[in-house]
Parts: sequence; C-alpha cells; structure tokens
Amino acid sequence: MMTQIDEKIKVGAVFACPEGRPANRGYDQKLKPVWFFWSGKKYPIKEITFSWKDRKGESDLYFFSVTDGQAVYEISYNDKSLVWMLEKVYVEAR
Amino acid sequence: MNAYFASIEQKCNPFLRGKPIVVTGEGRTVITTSSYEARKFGVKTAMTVPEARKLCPNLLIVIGNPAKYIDTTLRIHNILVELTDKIDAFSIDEFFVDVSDFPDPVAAAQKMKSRIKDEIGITCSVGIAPNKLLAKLASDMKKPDGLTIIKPEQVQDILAKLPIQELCGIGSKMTAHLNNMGVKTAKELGEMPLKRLKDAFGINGMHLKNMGLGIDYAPVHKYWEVEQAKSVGHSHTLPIDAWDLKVVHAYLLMLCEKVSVRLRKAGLVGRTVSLVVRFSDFNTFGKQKTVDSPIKLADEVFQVAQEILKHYYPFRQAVRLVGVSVSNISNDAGQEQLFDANRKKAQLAEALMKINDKYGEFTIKLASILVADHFGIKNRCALIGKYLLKKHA
Repeated sequence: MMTQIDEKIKVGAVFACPEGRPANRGYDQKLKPVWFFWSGKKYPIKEITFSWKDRKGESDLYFFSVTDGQAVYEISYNDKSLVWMLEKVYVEAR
Repeated sequence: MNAYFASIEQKCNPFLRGKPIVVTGEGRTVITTSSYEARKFGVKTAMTVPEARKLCPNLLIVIGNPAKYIDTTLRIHNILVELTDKIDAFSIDEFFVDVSDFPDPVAAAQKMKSRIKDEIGITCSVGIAPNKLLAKLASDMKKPDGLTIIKPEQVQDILAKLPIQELCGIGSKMTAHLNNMGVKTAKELGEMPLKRLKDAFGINGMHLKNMGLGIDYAPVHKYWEVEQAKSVGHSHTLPIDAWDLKVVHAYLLMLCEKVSVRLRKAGLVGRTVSLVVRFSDFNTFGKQKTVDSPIKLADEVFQVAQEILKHYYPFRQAVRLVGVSVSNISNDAGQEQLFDANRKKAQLAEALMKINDKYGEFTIKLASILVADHFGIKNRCALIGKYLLKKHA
C-alpha cells in the first residue's frame, strides 16, 4: 500500500562522473542516493529501480524510486533548494 | 511501448512485478492502462475499477504520475534521436521513425528495442512497413516485445481479412457506420466506390479508401521541423463529478490560464474558443465560438468559454470533465493595447507568468481558482506534443 509522506530527509548520495552517454540510463547515473535517514532510522538503498525528472518553477526535481528490500520509497531532490524529500512509501500488504 | 504506464510502475516497484495492476487517475476509477498480467483476466483500458475487479479480484490499483511518464518519453525520444532525426511522436508512448535510409532497418529496429530495454528498463513492440498506417498495424500484431515486418508483397493478403476496426483511425462509431454499409474488412473498404465513401464521410472518404488499400502518404517529419500549432488546449477530469457551477468555473478558469500561458510563450493568439464538457454519464459535448479580435489572455478565453458553457447550464448531469482550446491561431503581432485598463491587464498577466515560471505553476493564482484547489488540481497535462520534444531535444 502506497502512503504519502512528504517529509524532509537526510540523504547520502554520490555525484558520479559517468563515461559515455549517461542521460538515458537514468538520473542515478549522475546523482546516486546511497542511504537516507527517516524518523531516526538509517535506510541503506539496495537498488534504485527508476528515476525521473519534473520541474516546478525554476527548480528541477529529481525523483528516485528506491528499495531497501523491505519496502519501496520515492525520494526527491530539488536542485535549487538542495533539499531531499521522502515523498511516498510502499509497503507490501501481508 | 508495451502497457506503458503499467510497465513503468512495475519497473519502479518490484512488489508490483508479475502481478495484475492497473493505473488510474487520482480520485478516479477509469483504467488508463492495465498490465499484461491484468489483461489475461480481460481487464482493459477504459474499464472502471469495479468492472475490472469482478474479472480480477486481486487487482492492484496504482495512481498514475504523468510527470514520470512524460520524462520517460523524453528519454526514449533521446535514444531515437541518436539514431535518426526523422521521428514523429504519435502519442505519449508511440513514435514513427523513418528507417528507409538505413542500410538494415531490421537491425536498426532491434538496436532501438535493446537500447530502450537496457537504458529505460521496459519493452516495446516495433512494426516495420512501407508507410505509417501499415507500420502501426505491424507494431500492434505482436505484443509485448514484438518486431513485425510487413513487406509490400504481403500487404494485400493482410488487408484481405483484417477487420476495419484494426486500422488506426477507425473507431467504434465509424466501424458501426461502415458495417452498416456492408464493409467489414480493410479489403472491402478499399474496394468501396469512392463516391459512396465521399457521400457518407465527405472529405474523409478518400482517406478511408486509401486506408482500405493500405495507402498512406503521410511522411515522417524531422522532429525539429515543427509545424505551427493549429490549436492549444487543455482538459481536466475533475476528481469528483461536480454539479456546482462555481466549481466548474474554477476548473475552466484554471484551464484557460494554462492555455493562455502556452499561447503567450509561443507568441500566438487565436480567434476560436472550443469548449468540451463530459458529464457523469460519459456523454460528451463540444461547442465553439469565434470572436472578431484575436485573444490570448486567460480572462479573454474564459469569457468566451463561459458564454459557451451557458448552453449546458443548468446541468442535467454532474460534470466529469471540462476542456478548452483556442484555435484559428496566428502569430501575435504584439499589438499595443489602446486602453489603459487592457494594458494593465496584459502587464499583470505577464508579471504573474514570470512569478509562476520561477516558483511553479499556480504559485499565484486568481481567487476563483481556489475552489478548484480545494478539489485538487493536476498541474500537468499528461499528453505531450512534438513542441515539448523539440524544446527538450
């Protein structure tokens, strides 16, 4: 079940310098979130499953769908405010 | 692309892979796309979720994200542009690519497919044929992940048994009309006397006959050779069907604002305003009005749209969707406003546009739109056109 969160989070990310033609492979080729902190807990990112870009005013927002193996998280990075947000969380119904 | 929105959502979320899922709009129950797993149960686009659940009780619902799909389409376009510049975006998930100059079109198509799979992570079906009509037909023949070739010498055999509704551009109403005329297959359509088709369908008669013969002269343009827009429009499905005129007006004004911004950014004006209203019983009506002087500002478009809306009020059903477009387009000659009030209005509109460009659409908005805010505004139009592709290429 998908839950809207909309909270600022602390993220550890790698700003990569990929070779070749990276743009179509996903934005994680250049900006790769590796872990994030939410509600006092550290979540290591096991896989970035998808990424996309949107625009709000003059800001580019980079969205990453990531998983730690337990749940799927949608996090975003605003290139103007330099803020990371946890947008949504998906937890499999048991 | 194959089950585009559903495929992207399954790529995003591993827990959805291999499961029957459907993508819907926010607050709505009409299915925009279903995954192949859902299709095995008979779940199709345009069904309602309750209908689909009867066929597939374990169905999972995902709310669509237009920004995600639009950006993915731009990335796919970038892949194609690296191979050729003769690309037509047919829809958010379909492209025509001219491979007639390629030494090996099949190898080129395979390269496109594998790059999309590798770089985006989803599959597509490709059709290779002598023209756009037949290429589209070929691409629909094998899904998912197909590559189908229709050679010139195969065309007549394929059209001989092809039901007319399989031809792109022939919908259910046209099919019913043609069936009543005794036309069931593409071959029968091609053999129909041109006069009969012109009598029944006017100027479209020739086009229909050509379709039946497998003929399509439409070229694939270079993606950067964008013809001027013939119209600029936006439509919106309300999160909840609305009886209240104030609510409908709020959405209409929002749409007029979006249309106005696009017109002004493109340096265009128009003289014809078209309004579309869909009611909760899915009956859809459209009317248009042409004004004497070209318009571009939101309140100018809204005034005309509001006039047209009066034809449908009081509503006999709740309103599900409204759409407004401006056509009869020409370049904005930048005519100076003669009256102070109009000049101030134009200056205010420009200032608002600059603020919203900087901070986001509808950061500043008219108070009347706040009603729509309460009900939920979708900031983006989910369909992209060649103009957006040109800008981002």
